[in-house]
Parts: sequence; structure tokens; C-alpha cells
Amino acid sequence: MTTTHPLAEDYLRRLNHIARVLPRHERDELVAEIRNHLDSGLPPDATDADVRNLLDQLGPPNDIVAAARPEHPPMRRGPREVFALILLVTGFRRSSGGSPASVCCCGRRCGRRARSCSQSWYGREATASCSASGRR
Amino acid sequence: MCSVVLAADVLSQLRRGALEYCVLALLAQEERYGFGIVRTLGSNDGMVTGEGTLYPLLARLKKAGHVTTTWRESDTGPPRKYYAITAEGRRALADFTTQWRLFRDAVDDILAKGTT
Repeated sequence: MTTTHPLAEDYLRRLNHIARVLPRHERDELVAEIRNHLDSGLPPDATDADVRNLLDQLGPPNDIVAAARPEHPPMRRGPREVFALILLVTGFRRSSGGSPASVCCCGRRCGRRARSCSQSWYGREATASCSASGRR
Repeated sequence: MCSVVLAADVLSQLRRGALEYCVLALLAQEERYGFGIVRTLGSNDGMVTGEGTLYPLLARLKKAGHVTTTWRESDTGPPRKYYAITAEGRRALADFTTQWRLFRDAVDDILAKGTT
């Protein structure tokens, strides 16, 4: 009864991973529904082409999860986010190694500013970046 | 930053807003299972981009109390989750239908005048 085609299983695995930002019960429910959809839409002897067509019609897992949280913009990792991460981490590590305080403070401040400008960071990411920077 | 609103964006937002009421309208006739709803709406060109996005929408309708769900055994495969509209769902649908018709008629009217 469970979908066994490797392409379908791979899709469900990716969906399950991307949906980790949802509350547990919502994630489980969503994945179960999509699995059910695939079971309903595929004959027992489904070909690769059949599966690919069905998955194309379903759309990318990212879009499905984005639809489950309309209050949040889609997760993006742009240059600003990468820059913020580098500054936050290098600033923190420099300070613990006793290097010139001015350099690491500047790095942490820039990182925090970049993080606060980023609209993609929220929830766990923002908290993690706070920990990395040593303080809010 | 571009301040012009693209027609495609407007229609995308309208589509998103109207979709849950289209789902309710389908369910107002009879209860349906997820795959059936998705297929019916998906076959209507311009209604849905990715069919999978309908499942979170159905979950939202359930959370809002506009639909209820029941699992039923099926002869032709795995058990199916059936969606049924609630009284509250019918009220929401009736509200939307009234508002939508006013809006649609007003826009059509203005567009017709604008293009003559």
C-alpha cells in the first residue's frame, strides 16, 4: 500500500526534510496526504514517466511547504545571509581566541546588522545566529 | 524598487485568495477525497500551479472549521481521506460568493468602460 517507486520515495523524503520547519503533526499529516495522493495517482505498474508526470503536477516540495506557512516568505540563502553568517562566526571565534577586540566586535556588529536586515531569517535560524554572536 | 504591480502578480494573488472558496464550492455539492478535489481543480486551467499546494490549503480549511475529514476504506486502493463542508464553511462560502460577485461585476464594468 505504501509508495515504493524510488522517484516517489525520493520526493517524499525531500518533502519530509523541507517540511521540518512545520509543527510535527502538520508535517506528518502533509507527508501522509502527499503519499496518499501518489498512491491514488499511480498504477501498480507505474513507469518512470508516469511518476515524473505526477510529481511535476504536484510541484516542488518547497512550494508545498511554502503554501503551508503563508505568513513566512520562502527560505532564501542570498549573499546577505551568507555574509552575516561569516561575520557572526568569525567575530565570535576571534574574540574567544583573544585577537584584537576591535576587529571581532566590528565583525559581530556587522553580522548582527546583516542578520536583522535579512527577511529570510526567523525562528531557529535567528536564535542560532544569536548564540553564535554571543549575545542578541 | 519597482512599484508597478504586474498583472501576473495580481492574478496570482486573486487565484490564491479564491482557491479555498472554490474548494468549498466543490464540497458544497458533495463530500470528496483529496485526490479528487485536486484533480478537479487541477484540470481547470489557470486554477492551480502545483497541485500539491492544495493539501496545505485543505489543512487550513480543516483548522478553520470549514471542513471536516473522515478516512474511508476504498475498494480500489489505500484508504481515502474524505472532506466534507461544515455549516460554518457554507456560511463562509455564501459570504464570499456575495462579495465576489459584487467585486467581479464592478471590475468588469470598469474594464468595459476603460476599453471602449
